[in-house]
Amino acid sequence: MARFSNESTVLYNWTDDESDPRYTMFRRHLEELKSATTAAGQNLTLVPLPVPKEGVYQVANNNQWRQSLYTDAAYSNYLVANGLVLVPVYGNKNDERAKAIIGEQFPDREIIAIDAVSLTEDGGAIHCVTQQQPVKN
Amino acid sequence: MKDRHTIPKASGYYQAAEWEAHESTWLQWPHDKIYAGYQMNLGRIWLEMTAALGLHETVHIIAKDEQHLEHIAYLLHFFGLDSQNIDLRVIPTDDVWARDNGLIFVVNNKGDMAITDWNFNGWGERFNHPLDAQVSASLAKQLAMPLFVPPLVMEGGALSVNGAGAFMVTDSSIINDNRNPGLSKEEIEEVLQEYLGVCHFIWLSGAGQVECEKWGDMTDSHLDIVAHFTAESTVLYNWTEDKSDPRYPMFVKAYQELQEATTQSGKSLTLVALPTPADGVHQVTNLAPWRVATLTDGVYSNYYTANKVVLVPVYGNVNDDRARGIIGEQFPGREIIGSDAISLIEDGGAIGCVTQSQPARRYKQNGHRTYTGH
Repeated sequence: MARFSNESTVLYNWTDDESDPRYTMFRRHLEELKSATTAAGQNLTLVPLPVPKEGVYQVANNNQWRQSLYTDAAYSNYLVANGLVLVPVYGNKNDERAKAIIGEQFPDREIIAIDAVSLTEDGGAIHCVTQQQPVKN
Repeated sequence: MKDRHTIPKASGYYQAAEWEAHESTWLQWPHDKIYAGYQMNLGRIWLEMTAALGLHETVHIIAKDEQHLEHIAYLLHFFGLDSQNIDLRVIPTDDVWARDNGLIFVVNNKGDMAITDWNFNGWGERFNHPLDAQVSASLAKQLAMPLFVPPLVMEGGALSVNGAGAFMVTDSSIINDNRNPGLSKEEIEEVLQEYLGVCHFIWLSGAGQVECEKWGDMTDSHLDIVAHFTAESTVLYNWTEDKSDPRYPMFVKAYQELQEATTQSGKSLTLVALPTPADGVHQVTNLAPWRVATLTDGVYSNYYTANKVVLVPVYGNVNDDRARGIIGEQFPGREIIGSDAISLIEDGGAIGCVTQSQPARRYKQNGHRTYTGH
């Protein structure tokens, strides 16, 4: 839905497509984010991130090949790691825009796209299957 | 076994339609010559194709060497596919495009089968693929089949036949100095008649190189991204209402040309529109600098018809389901299997480009063709 990209900046998923079943939720989240603050009481800088145009659909056949079901694919499911960011991509028209917007938030890191169609049809993308371990202080 | 002095037509040979009964399917397994660091993106697709096709026909898998063969055998075992009807053999290859390497099987009604070898030159000498150009000759030797080498350069993806005499092709991918300098349309038709036993031609314009580069097409617009016979007089054609799609003018022209076209017996074609992926399919990797996020030539017409199944390339796109439904209506007795083809299409082709069918042998007393269509 939304991700902190630094102390006071939040990337949030957004679409102008009112027929997208997630549109209502995205709108509500944006309103909630607008009234949210950091721990220090500072307003959030909000950066919209497009969702895949027309959505991403399941590709497997699991005995239901005539159905191609809508998935919850979004670009906000990226992983920030040392020196790089792994961004899920879907062969979609909006892949490039999303990579660029995420790249602007992490100017010193390489933005690496991972084809995540097969993964997202199982319910998640890159962030869902990774867990970072921080260095000790 | 090379026989340059006789022509296949003299022995009654012809190319069967893809949907007629198969003996088998040929695949060239991906390896590191072109795809170092990328094989795993592709290997998954080959495993899926092997699993689906192997239920109903033999799958011939070409490994590039003994080590590659052992690796594939291990993969097939690991994924539980080694009990299927698989023939694994070594022939050196450069790449994966079994459709295009020049191999086309021809049959006659006396139970004979031969190989025609269409002098693959790397899609108009864009790529240096000398090993792939030798696959047809190597196979003729290994299978002890007659080999015919026509005086023409052509890839299998450039054409579609209905198995009853009609041959559909794009001008741009064959009447082209990068493949057949100086040859006229009439001269090309004569070769096709002699070597594939066809008698009627449907020429679609295709697209020039400048247009093709807009969607990363290195084939001079093969027919398999434009249209496809699905029955003797039925053609699926790619269509989009999106005028901003750079392929739109090509699709409009092809549709107009198809409306004028007929079968070998003069009958009008039944034309069935197949949507293209909405907003196109875009490249996904960053492994090599030339792979940037550009539009690919991802379409659904690049499917493959086999015994009891049809493998349809899908892309996670909103139109996947519609396309599978439309193709399914053309092949009601077959299971329609979607294959996630994003990793493949960003390299320039989809399922139809990496498969090559070997028809079943035909035995028939009278002079007529044994037509095994649905």
